[in-house]
Amino acid sequence: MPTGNLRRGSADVAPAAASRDAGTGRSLLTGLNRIRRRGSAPSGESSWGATIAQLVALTVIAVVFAASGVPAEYITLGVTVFIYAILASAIALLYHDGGLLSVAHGGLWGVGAYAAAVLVTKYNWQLGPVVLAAALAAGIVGMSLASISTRVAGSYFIIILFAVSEVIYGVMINWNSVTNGAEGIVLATPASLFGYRISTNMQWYYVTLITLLVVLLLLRVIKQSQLGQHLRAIRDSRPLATSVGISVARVHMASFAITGAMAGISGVYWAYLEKYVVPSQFSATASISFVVVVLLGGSAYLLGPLLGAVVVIFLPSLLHLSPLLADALIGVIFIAVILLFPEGVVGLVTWSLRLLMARTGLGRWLGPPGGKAPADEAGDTQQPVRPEHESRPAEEGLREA
Amino acid sequence: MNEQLLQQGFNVLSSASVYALVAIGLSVIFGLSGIINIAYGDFMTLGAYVVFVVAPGGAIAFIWGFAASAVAVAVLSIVLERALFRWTLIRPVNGFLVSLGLAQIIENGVAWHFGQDSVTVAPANSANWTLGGVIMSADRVIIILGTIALVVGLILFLDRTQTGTAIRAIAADREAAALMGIPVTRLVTGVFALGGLIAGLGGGFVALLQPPYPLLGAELVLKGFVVALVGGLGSVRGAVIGAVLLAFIETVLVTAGLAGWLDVIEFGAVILLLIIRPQGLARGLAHSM
Repeated sequence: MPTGNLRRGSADVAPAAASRDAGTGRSLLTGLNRIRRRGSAPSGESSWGATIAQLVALTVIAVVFAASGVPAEYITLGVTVFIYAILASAIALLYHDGGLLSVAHGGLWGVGAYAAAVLVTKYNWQLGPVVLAAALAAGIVGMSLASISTRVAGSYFIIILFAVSEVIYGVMINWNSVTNGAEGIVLATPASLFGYRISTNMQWYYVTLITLLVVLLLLRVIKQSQLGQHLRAIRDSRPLATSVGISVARVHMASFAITGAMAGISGVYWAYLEKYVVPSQFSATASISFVVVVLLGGSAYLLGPLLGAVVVIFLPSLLHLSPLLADALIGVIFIAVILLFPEGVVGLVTWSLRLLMARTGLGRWLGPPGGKAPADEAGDTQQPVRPEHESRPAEEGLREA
Repeated sequence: MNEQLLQQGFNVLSSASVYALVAIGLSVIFGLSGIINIAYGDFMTLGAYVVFVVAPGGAIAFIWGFAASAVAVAVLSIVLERALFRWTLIRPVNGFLVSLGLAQIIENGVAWHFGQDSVTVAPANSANWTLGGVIMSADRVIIILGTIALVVGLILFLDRTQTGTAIRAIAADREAAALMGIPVTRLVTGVFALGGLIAGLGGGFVALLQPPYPLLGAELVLKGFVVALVGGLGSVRGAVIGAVLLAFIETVLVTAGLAGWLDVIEFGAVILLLIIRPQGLARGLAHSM
């Protein structure tokens, strides 16, 4: 039904419910938590061992790649991949755990980039304070998105976030005194961090890699934290989450602020890498390409968005295609992934690997989030494997007849 | 003064026509399938380019251009619905994602084949008529009359015919409609074809207003969604009202010298409106078509 996916007023109900039912709600959730921890990892997460293994593997591969003497342009592409992955991983948290498909994060990315460009060129700030300020700015703008997500859901939410990204773009292009309008700002000063100059792309490669690792670790912590639990509870059923005392407004504000801040940090690096910021980099088109990156890789997996970024960034230069054809090809691959492998490329890879390694026990390291636990853990309290969002109430009523 | 006002009114109507066509197409498809088809604007781009290929010289050949673009985009819509969108009807978010991929394919494909710059299409009729002091270019008159005819036809079709009633029934409750023996999947395909037809004609109209370029539709589609949202997604009448409202506000803002801030004000106003009144101004397909 066109109007069936409207939600309103849940934010108003929440505080009252919280004061009344806080005790019950919390004990219910921690109870659930305990049950899940004993069995397999809670939905949306693999075990901590697997997380550490993945991050170590990422570090090793990234360092070997950089040290193996690949051409300089590949290092630049690598920096771009890390920058994209920071932002895409943040979007993936909102989509997978929150059921919120944000098409405004490209704009928040731009807020971070512009904050960097302005603070560096006009006030000559150092990298550390610039990153903090950009995270703060993008985080605050991001937090305001919660005022939308608490009122409308599903399709309406997506469309309004498109409007938000247009507003951010319009402000960038019109606020001449600060953003220099459509001409943009050149950012040629090398960054300095704790007295070190960061100017070469190889240095940026490691700076962005370390940031990405921190962001991934943080996202992993958030997924397991109460915030993550609440975010998933709201995704699965807003009325139910509200009834056990979860404040939709507070949880969404925190989630948008955190992911917005990550977008802002990513934007700072982008400004330094490109040495030039201009509004057209941060339009709705940018947001769309990040959504493509997230879902191509698979939003359910910690490294999914990173893999999506690798495909999107490296494919054109590996195939020596013209940028236009490469983008069209990515569109084709994207549609195929959405229709055939809804869990993304990582989902496809883990699925085939698990098929291969079913008996070796290696499969546990690649266990899908909330999916079937490996054989040795199986048995006690597994959650049924359910494709994400399959049962989201926002979409019921739109089933195929 | 009076003449100036009439002139403005005429201009409002011609840009409202294009917005209305985008919004109606989006609305009807959303009402039936729940899919936010972001590639819809690119369907219009394709329509405009079909006109460019068939009738670059304009004049009377435009009739063939319109026919060709309407048929071509409608057929394309049927193919895409059967091949892609059909598999996303259970999870409309996937339909939106598929349309993102489609948009990327069409925009880049068109830019690759026709070049990134705009192409020129000669006017269908270069005459300028003056009526009561209002200068009306013949092309804009064609656009306005064509849109009015299309909208009236569509409303009559949905309100008065049995097929139209069936479509509204599906929009209201797909399962119940299926239980009543309505061929749901076939009608969903039919509505995609209808949407394609509207996009093809709309693309032709846009080609009369401005030279087609690859991102033409991409820039229209977000405004189309805003119009559809304000009018209540799924409502044809709401889309028309929203389009006229948007075109009116744009004219006022441009006259006030705020052309640069146009998008910020419009989209900002819609965000505020939806925060205050999440259900839009009108209600959906099933209720008020």
